[in-house]
Order: sequence, then C-alpha cells, then structure tokens
Amino acid sequence: MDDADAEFEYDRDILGVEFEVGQATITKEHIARYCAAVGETNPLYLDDAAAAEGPYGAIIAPPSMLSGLLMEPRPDPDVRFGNTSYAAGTKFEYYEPVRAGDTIHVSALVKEVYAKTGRSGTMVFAVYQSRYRNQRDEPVAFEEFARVFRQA
Amino acid sequence: MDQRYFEDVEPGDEIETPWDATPEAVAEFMATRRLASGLPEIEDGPERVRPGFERPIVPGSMSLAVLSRLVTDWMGSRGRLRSISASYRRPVYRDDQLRALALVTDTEKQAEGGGLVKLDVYIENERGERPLQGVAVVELPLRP
Amino acid sequence: MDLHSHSADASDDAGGTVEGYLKWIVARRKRGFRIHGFVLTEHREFDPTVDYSALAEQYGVTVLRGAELETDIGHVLVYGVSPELAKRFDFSSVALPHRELFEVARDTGGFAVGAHAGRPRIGLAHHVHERGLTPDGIEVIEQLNGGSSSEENGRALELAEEYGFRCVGGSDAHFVSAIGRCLTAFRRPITSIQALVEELAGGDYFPVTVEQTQRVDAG
Repeated sequence: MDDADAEFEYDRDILGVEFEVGQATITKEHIARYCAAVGETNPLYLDDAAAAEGPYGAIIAPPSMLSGLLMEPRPDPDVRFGNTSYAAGTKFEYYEPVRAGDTIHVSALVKEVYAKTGRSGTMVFAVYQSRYRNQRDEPVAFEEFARVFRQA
Repeated sequence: MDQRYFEDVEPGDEIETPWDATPEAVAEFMATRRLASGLPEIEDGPERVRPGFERPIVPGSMSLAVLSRLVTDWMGSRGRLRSISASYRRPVYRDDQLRALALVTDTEKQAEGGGLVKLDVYIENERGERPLQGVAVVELPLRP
Repeated sequence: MDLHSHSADASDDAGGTVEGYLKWIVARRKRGFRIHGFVLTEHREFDPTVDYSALAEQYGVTVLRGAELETDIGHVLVYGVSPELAKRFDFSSVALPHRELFEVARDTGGFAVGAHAGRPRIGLAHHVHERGLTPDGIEVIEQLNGGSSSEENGRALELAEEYGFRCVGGSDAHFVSAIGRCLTAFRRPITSIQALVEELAGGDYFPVTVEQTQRVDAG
C-alpha cells in the first residue's frame, strides 16, 4: 500500500536526473582476486588458455562483479526518515560481458521515493537505477536497487 | 566444466552448494570491490557489528555473487546469465551455516537460438530461514 | 492444500505468478509430491473480480482465494471473504480489531486463522506471551509456515498446545518454488472456498511439509 500521508522528507529535485557516477577498469588481477573472494573457479574468468577457447575468446569477469563495484557518490535523495537504512532488493540485467581490460562507466539516477505502511510500521523506499557501459559505449548491465529507511 | 543443454532441464531440478562465508573471504570481497572501483582501502572489517544487527553480516552483493556463481557454474560456459534479482528479507549472518540453492521453475524454448530457464535462487541458513531470495534467468544452448 | 500464498499480481513483495505456481505444482506432482491446490491470500486486499478458474482448470490444480489482513494481534488469514465482511472492515488498515474480525468472519460465512503464529511482532504468540493478550475467539492458527524458521514454528506449536488451538500449514510463498512447501492435510479434497470454510470449522486436518506428502513409489 502506498502511503502518501506518511511523514518523510527527501530531495524531490533529484528524481530522474542521471549522473555520471564513475568508471572502473577491470583487470585480470581484479577478476582473480574477486573470484578468490567469492569462490569462483570458472576457467572463463581465470585461465587465459581456456578462456581463449571459450565463447568470448578471452578472460571475462563474472557477471556478479558489477554488483560488487563500489561507485561513489551515487545520487542521494537525502531521505529524512527513521534511524536506520539497509538494502531491500536488487535486480541486474546483463548484456555484453565484461572483458578483462574493459573500462566500465556507470551512470545512476533516483527513480522514485515512496512510503509503505504495514507489518512493522512505516518504511520509506528509495529506488535507484544504474547503467553500466563499456569503453565502446555498449550496454553491459542495468541495475535497479531499492534501499529502505525505517525506525529500528 | 560440463555444458548444460536446454533439453536436459525441467522444472523441479535443484542445485545447491554449501557456503562458508569466512571472515577472510568477506574481508577480501570488501577489499576487492574497493580496489576494482579505484577507491582507497578502508578499515571496515568483516567482524564489525552494524547497528541494528545481532552479529556480523555478509554484504548483500556478496550473497548475490554466490547465487550467481551457483547458477553460472551449473549452466556451463555457453550458457548466459540474462538477469538475477534478490530480495533481502532478513540479514545473512556470517557465522550461520549457509547454503545457496537454485530451483528450476520454468523453461521456454525460444524461436531462435536456445531456451530460457527461470530459476528461484535462495540463501538458506540452518534455521530453515531464507534471508535472501530472488529469480535468475539464464539462456541455455540447444543440444548440437 | 497450501493455505497461504502471495502472487506478483497483487502483492508487491512477491515474485511468483499464479501460472508460475501452477507449473511448479504440476512439476512437483510428477516427482510424487501430493499438492492438491493453494489459496491466494494477498496482503491487505481482496478483489472479488479476480478469477483464476480457467488457469486452474488448464493445469488441474485447485486455486482458491482469501486474504491476509493485519490486526492488533498480528496477521490473520481470512477464507470466505463475503461482500459484507469487506464492507465492515478497511482491509488496508494495519491494525484491525482482531476480535471483531474473527467474529464477523464466522458470522458472514467465512473463517479466520492466526497467520505465522510463531513469528515476532506479526504472529499471535508474540502478542500472547510478550503483551499478555488473551486470544479470545481464535480456534485455529497457522502453526507450520514456510516463511518462518523452525524455531518460530516451534513457538507456534507451543502456543497451540497451551491454548488447544487446531493447526494448519501454509507456505507463505512469495516465489514460485516455495508454493506447497508447507500444507494442510484434509480428509477430503477441497474444491471450493465454502468446502474449505466447512472443513476448517469442522476440525479434521493437520499441517504437513511437502516432503511428508511424497509417494514412495514415485520417481
């Protein structure tokens, strides 16, 4: 249930405004360290020879590596509600694979901010969208992420 | 790695893997993501207990990465992960006994190319809770 | 029969569609699990115009509809939602008076059940044990809930034993593969909401996990 009457404040001017957030060059070394951290053993990500034989002809990054990128600062709707916030959910769509050596450009916007009342009180949700493109300006991924603000 | 083909998959198929989210792995994940993003390393160790949580938690993006790994290992090198989503319903505590699960819920042959397979994905703890759940869509090739 | 589920059609925290649930149940049956059907209990609403009968017939699965409402003693599952009941209560409220809801549900040909009774804040056990509330007018609780931990379901069982409640099971599915994880076993097939209400009031049923329904001769 949307709750238009819930009392919360945020920066409405930021809605829908797309910002260039940053860029990251994904090296083989970054990929290898990331794989070690999350237990990836897929030769497409780690083995030059095997990756050369594979469908992409060279080492690629695990798709999830994009969700591990920290791009700061993201657009901030400056939600003033509650005393805690945490991730509520995320969705990634993947297009072109990220090849070792690619530079990924990230842009992001705040799609919406809304309140819901129920279960354990009122929660305010901020929904962000991010676009990931490579140095050839090809779309690599699209992300929708929701953060919830509430009174603990 | 074995290649999975669309014809070999049907709703109800299950895959799972145990996941030991060691403090070292969580620390390495957090360090790597800053490194790849060109950010300086900071002291934000995996044992830090954030306000509002009982014990150290695993970052949501790390849980998502483990689910993604489960699915991409299963599909083989010619499969493609089209999308993955996760709803964070409860905290994933680092020292819980965790496992990642995926269950095939639907299959759909495409007019051209291979077929799409939809899977529910979960992180489950030893209490039977599923603190993180979502949906992955993969594209699998047809048998040659 | 799975007495508790949500779909992406009406619950924005759900990822499963009704057709997705139906396909999953057909797949589960092929593997020997006995799932007759499910009741959609969307959060805080009941749309009388929604009709899944054609889809249900196509897949050979019973699909019934109820509602999950929010009261001063936690969430409540209501089966047999009459126009009169819908008129008496604002379903979108998050603090409906539970005594009236249980009573009016019964008086208007329906039946109410305390949902996920062992869950903190939104289950009955919390309100009885932490707030000292007397659970008047409640006969049945959802003791086995697919979204609850084993500890929470254990808490619900203790509550049932303490107050003599009858128990049902439901998956609380929000995603496809969760449908039918927890069920209620009845002595006869349930094919209508009226039959479900009669059975719930009659009392010959018990909660089961989907594993407990598997035929040993199935592949």
